Amino acid sequence: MNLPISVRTTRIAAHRLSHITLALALFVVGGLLGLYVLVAAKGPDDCAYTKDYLPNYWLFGVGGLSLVAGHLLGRLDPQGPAGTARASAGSKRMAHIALVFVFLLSVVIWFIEALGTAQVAAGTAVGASTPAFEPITFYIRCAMYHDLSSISNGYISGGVIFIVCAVLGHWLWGQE
Amino acid sequence: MKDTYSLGMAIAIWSVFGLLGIISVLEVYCDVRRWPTISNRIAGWARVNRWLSAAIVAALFILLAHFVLNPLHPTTCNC
Repeated sequence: MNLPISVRTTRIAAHRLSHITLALALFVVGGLLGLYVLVAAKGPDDCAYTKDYLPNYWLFGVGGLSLVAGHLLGRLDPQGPAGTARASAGSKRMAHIALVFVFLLSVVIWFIEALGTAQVAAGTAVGASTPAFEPITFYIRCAMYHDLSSISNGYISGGVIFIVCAVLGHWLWGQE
Repeated sequence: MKDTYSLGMAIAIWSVFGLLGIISVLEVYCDVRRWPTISNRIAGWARVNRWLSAAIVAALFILLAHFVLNPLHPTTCNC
């Protein structure tokens, strides 16, 4: 599509600004969130689940909407998707390595999850209130529980889900 | 044993956000140099491999549903 030069320049500037803002936001938000957790987070023993905050259909809906938003954001990108036809051999090899890395990481994560799930029943020390190993789900749901019950009514959880799903929609939902 | 929950969670958060932040800085660098950015390259790959990218999105949404729609509670649950 042939756009006027002024429009194209504005799009490039807006796109670059969004990249810089995202990079800064990730470092600032991640740094502050980590500090907050370090100072204020309570152990999983404190996750008593005295009230049902999950399942939460709104959070899942936020995921679906942000997937669409990420896809639509890709249409503003002045570059558009890079053509793979002229990709170098090194670039294609890098794509294969990245894919193998993603699947290997997934295997490790699911193995830890399976180990934690198995140990919920079998790994509890005598007298301990919390099993020796817990699945990753337990920690994530525990964090969501605290967020929904006493921190931000779920806005932080919703924000994290929004960022992750928007990136998914931006990257993996094919742009024409 | 000393409770390491808060330290472990903080390290996990810093690792995830740090990795994403480094990728974002690389995006800016590629953009300034007028090279195809990482997101453009991945989008190009996803456009060619539609089924595989759809499968990855589906797998991650199953994971999201597992986190937020699962009514299960841990064994410590008093409810």
